[in-house]
Amino acid sequence: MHNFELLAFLLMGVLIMVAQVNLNKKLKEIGKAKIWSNQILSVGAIVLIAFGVLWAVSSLLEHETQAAMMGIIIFSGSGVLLGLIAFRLISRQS
Amino acid sequence: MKRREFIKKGSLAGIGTAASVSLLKQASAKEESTSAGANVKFEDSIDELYEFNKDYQRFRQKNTAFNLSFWSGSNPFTPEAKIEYPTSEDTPVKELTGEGIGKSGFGRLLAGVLWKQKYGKDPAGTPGFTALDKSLKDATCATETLTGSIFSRAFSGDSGPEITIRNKTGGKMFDLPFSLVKPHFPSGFAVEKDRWKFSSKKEASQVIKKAARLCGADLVGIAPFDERFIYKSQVHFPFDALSGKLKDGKSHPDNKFNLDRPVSFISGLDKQGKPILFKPKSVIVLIHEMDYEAYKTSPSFISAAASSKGYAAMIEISLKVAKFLRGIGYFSMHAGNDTGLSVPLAISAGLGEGSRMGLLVTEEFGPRIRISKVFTDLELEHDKPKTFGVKGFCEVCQKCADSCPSGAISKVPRVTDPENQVPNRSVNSGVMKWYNDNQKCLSFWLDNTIECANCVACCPYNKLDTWNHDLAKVATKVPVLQRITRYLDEMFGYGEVGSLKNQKQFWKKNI
Repeated sequence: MHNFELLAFLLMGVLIMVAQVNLNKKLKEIGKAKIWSNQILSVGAIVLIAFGVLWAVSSLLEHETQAAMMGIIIFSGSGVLLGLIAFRLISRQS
Repeated sequence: MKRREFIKKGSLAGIGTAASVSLLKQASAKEESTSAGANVKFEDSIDELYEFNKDYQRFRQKNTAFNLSFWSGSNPFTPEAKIEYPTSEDTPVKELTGEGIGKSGFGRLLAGVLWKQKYGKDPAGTPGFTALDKSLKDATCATETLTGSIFSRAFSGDSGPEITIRNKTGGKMFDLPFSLVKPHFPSGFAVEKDRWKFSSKKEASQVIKKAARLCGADLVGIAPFDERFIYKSQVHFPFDALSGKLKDGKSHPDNKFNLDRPVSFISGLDKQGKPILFKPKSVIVLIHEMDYEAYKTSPSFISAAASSKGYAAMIEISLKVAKFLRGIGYFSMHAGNDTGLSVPLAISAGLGEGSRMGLLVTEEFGPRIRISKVFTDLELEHDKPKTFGVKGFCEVCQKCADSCPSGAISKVPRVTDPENQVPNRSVNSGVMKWYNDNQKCLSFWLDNTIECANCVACCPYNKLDTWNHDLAKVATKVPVLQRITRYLDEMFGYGEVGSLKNQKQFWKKNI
């Protein structure tokens, strides 16, 4: 594994953890943390966004720019979409 | 924890554990996780993976498209014939005189004559075909040229201590020591009298594989010696065949074509200069990865350079492994594309699977590899042939067939009995596979002035060995995802062939 790729993995791991901890804190504050669907959707969204970014990093290291862009659009895009669905669901619950 | 909650969580944990144990049991039966990450099913022999007809015949090397281009009667590979190669029945055989060698299409391609005709007036004008690209190709095969071409069994003669190198008119230029131009007979590579004793076949295999990897092989596997995959006869290709016409009686005895030379396994020469023959028990199959970036420029001189580098690796690394075996007292003979069929031997050695395009597909590098082999009388523990879904995926993908400029790759399902479907004699029949027109393929090479590797470059298995591709390969095993995998591969921009952009950018990319 390329050093830069390794660094991206480590950084993304930290970002996922920070995002998840903060999200969980926020859900607890509004009393929605115990609803499983909220947890699954938000974790799924964070992981997919991070996966898309990592895919893009690896693809760029391979000089595959189109693959990098597609990785962002398909994987991170799906993550954003999932995040929006989660946000709407949480908003409706209140 | 409340009673109800305890029962609920306990039940879930129980179901999870049972499912995991069941999956593990299934996996341990025949499947193992390999370095590439995909699950692989192992079989005891190649016959369990591929159906062979009862009347399967060993292949004659003279019928390979390459060799045929040198000796076939009306010589369809001359520039006049262009790419209109007959696909149903090939040309009648004319007795070989050696006169047509320098004039044959493939000979002209190798000598760069075709390039000069097409691009000579503007050697900097066409990306991928510039003088710079051509020089790279010539450079990467420099050692191969020095030691003799290995697409045939060059210099497999068994006489004479030295070789006479002749000029284009057949006149003597100079003599070279036998050991230099006949690397599989190097006089200094004698077989040691005392044999190294291994405690078991397993230990012997471990040691040989370790040595092969250190010598430079990217992958190594061991197959049992199977005579079906050894050529029924092989072509003996003289050293100066490409440089000029031969004069019978005046040149060295080895400087004669022999189209039907029996295959013999020779481990050096004795003190009288006679070949030391042996009967192989195992075949060590070596895989040499080719450059990914260069292959993205196919069909060009840059991708051909990667291929030539692979050829150079074949001869260098297999020679080292053969020398190692001789050093510990075992007979050995290294080989490139000569002596036997590399793909079934590599499949038997558990290195990959056969594909639609007819090439070996490995888990690690896909089809972007070259294969060499070392025959030895050392008894080794053989690897098991494996399958990781290539057959199923190739059946639906067909990306190679769609990218083939000459339409040489089959677009029909695999067949066991290829009667009425074998395009010509350059195809080895009698086994369940896809039947491609190798002569048609080579005809495009001549039109292109250099080899084509579009099928390799566009294959979805042709990826770098990285985590994201290992993950994507899982989809090639799931039938419902196979078709979409091909389209996703294209959408993500992989496997583009004939790309002017790639050909232009090759020299500018980061080192």
